[in-house]
This record gives sequence, structure tokens and C-alpha cells, in this order.
Amino acid sequence: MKRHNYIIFLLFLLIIGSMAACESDYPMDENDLLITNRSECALTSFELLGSDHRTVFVSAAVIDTIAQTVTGAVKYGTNLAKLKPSCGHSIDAIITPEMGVWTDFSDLANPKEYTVVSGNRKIRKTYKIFLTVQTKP
Amino acid sequence: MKRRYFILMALFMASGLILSSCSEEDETTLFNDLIKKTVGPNIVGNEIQFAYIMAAPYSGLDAAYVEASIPGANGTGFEPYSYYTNSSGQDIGVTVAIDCTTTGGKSQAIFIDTLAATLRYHYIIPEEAKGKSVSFTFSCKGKDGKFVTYQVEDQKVSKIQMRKGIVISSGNRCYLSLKNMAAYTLQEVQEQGLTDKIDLIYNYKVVTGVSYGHSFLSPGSPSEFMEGAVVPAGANNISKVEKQVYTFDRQLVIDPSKEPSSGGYSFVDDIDFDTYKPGAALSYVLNMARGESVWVISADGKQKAFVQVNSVAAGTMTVSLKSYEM
Repeated sequence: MKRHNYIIFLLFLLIIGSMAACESDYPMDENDLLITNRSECALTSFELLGSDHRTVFVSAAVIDTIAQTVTGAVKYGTNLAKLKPSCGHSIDAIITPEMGVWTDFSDLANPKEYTVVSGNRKIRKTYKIFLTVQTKP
Repeated sequence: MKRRYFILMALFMASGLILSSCSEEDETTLFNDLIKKTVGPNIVGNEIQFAYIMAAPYSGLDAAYVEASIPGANGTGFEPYSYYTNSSGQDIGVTVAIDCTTTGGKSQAIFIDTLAATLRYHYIIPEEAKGKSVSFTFSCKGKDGKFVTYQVEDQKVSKIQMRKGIVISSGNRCYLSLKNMAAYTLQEVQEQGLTDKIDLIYNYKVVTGVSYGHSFLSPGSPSEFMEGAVVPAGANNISKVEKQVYTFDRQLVIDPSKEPSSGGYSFVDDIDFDTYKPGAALSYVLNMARGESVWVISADGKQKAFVQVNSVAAGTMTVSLKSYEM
């Protein structure tokens, strides 16, 4: 009987221990996203959609992860004041400010900036978005 | 004594059974039900179609009636046919009624000789119903003189106006008015004094190196996008125009076999016009194609329209539109 109680007590301790371990593994950020151990911090793709939800780029935007720039030419007649950005990025990273909302890119002299924050939230890289508008030859 | 008691009990039970079965039959001498066949917003000039289902299995059907709270336009009434679907999926009509008449808001059909039928009722939405609700009361009379009725939920009629199949051509009949829902030539614009009513100009041009093609411009659009389009003297409206690609309005389709509908059809309804806010829209859209559409807001903000492109060819386009006064 004594031995039986002892085993139950050990199991109880094991369950409590594992629960506590789970909680402390990956904390959450203010948006309830996991803060992980990953330190990768890069943009992998960048897209701009027009009001018709189609790309406005003449060809895919070029990302320079060293210079931290995105360069792209948008089609002739594009409404730069209403574009919806989206992107790909390193695993577990986040982007600030928020993408996926209508954004004004019309001030070409002051390019928009987006910051990638790594999964561990310790590395930040700010990308500048340089756009040009296609012109008639 | 025992045997007598047994017989009395049996008789009592038998009469109870007969009575209960009789009362069920009385309740089921005349049936009716209804299905609304049309979907999408109820727009003036379009129809609301109902299928009215009736059965009088013992006495036979005598007549069907419907009363609309607002009399329908020309063409309103019952069809004299009851339909069945053949093996090829086609609806085949069988004449079951004579004397299908409509007077004011009341329509009726007198049956020839039938126990059960489904009649189609077409209500052509009149101008006076615009923005109001219409109620319908269907009723059916059996040959034994009994009546049943079916009250339909009130049908809200849209404020939208619609016109289909407007043919426009670049450099000719290319001046569109949202309020009039019509396209004009330059001469018509000048002669009829329509310069302030022109919201869009259709222009077609192949421009090397960029996508221009079939374009909609405002009279006041920047000159670099006009590409030879002639603006009527005095016309300077700057409408807000925004291209849509994945919105295919079913009511604006002319030929479903030729018009793309990837993502499925939908309906642009009053609530879409009320809630649509263009934000930073431009005064032009370039490179339109068949199946695409544009939201347009007039320069004074009083008129909104949804214009859908039904077909295109070099220099010409057929469009259908819904227009809405704010």
C-alpha cells in the first residue's frame, strides 16, 4: 500500500513538472504570437496589390537583404495612394507596421519602411521600399 | 355476460379508430406551399418569380389567386403550366389552367381539371415599388369550396436601377452618363447639353510598352492618360473609378457561357452601394477586360454605379451597369 502511494505521488510530481516546463518554453508577445529562439530576420518576398487585388508590379520586386531594400517598378497608371502590401519573411519573425491594409505609397521621395523582427524579438531589420512607375517609352 | 362485454368493447374500439381516421382526412383536403425562385436584389423592371404549390387530392383544384400590395407592371401573372423535369433536365410545361388574368394587384388562374399543380407566378417590379416593400398573399380554392392561403414575407424592392447591353465604341458612342445609364456620341452630348452629365469616357488604344487598351477616363482625368480621347467642350467632371476583378454580378451577365465567373457569381445590392467607400481612388482605370468591372462615383458624389464588361473587341465594348442615387 505504501509503495502504491509512493508511485502515485511521483506521477503527480511528473505531471506538474511537465506542465510548468511547457509554460516557460515559449512566451507570447503582445499579439499572442510565440517568441521563439530563432534569430533569422529577413524579408523573402514582397508584393503590392491594386484595388483589383492583382499585383501592380511589372515584374517581381527585388529584395536586397544586405542593403535592406526592396525595389520594384509598378505598372503605368497604378494608383500609388491605395496599395495593399504583403510579404514573406523568416520563420517566426513578425513585420511592423502591419501589412495587408490599404497603404499610401505615393510619396516616392520618402519610401515606406517595414521592419522585420526575428522570432526571438532580439533582431530588427528595417527595409525601405523603393518604387518607380513604368513610363511610356 | 362475458361475451357480451367483449363485443361491446370491440365495437367501442372500432368506432374510436374510425373516428380518429376520419378527422385526419378532413384536415388534409387542401394543401399549399410556396417557393421563391428568383434570387438577388429585387430591381425595377426585373421579375420576382414564385412557384405556388397546390393539391386537393379529394375534390380537385378550382382556382389559384394572388394579391400583390403594389400592382405589378405589364407581364405580371400566373403561367397556365405545371412543369416537370424530363430526363434531359429540361422543364416541360403541361397546361393545367385557363383564364390566367391580372387586374390591378390581383391575379388568378382557373384550373381545367387537376388534383395537384405548381403554378409559376411572375411579378414584374413596377417603378412605383422602387425602395418600398411589396407583400403577396397567395390563395387556392378547391372544388369543394374550401380555401387555403399563404402569406409571403414582404419583399423589399431595391433602389438600384439597372441597364444591360450598352454598346460603347471608342471615339464615337463613348460618353457615359451614370444617371441616365446611357452612352452618347459627341454630337449628342453637345446637342442635348449633356456636358455636365458625362461621368466616364471610354477610350481604346494600343500603347507600346504599357498596358492601356480598353480604358475608362473621367472628362477631367490628367491629360497624359487621355491618349487622344476627345473631351466635350465644358465637360470636366472628375469621377472616382476603381477596378474590380473578382466580383461578377449575376444580374448584369448577358451570356453566361461567354462571361467568366471564376470565384462564382454574386449580386451587387443596395448595401454594397451604401457601404462602398472608394478612399483614394483615381479618376481613370486602364486596361479593362471582359468579365472585369468598375465602381464609379460621380464627381458630385450623388451617383454610384457598378459597371460590368460583358464583351470586348478592338475599339468597342458591351457593358451593363447598376446605378444608385445616394
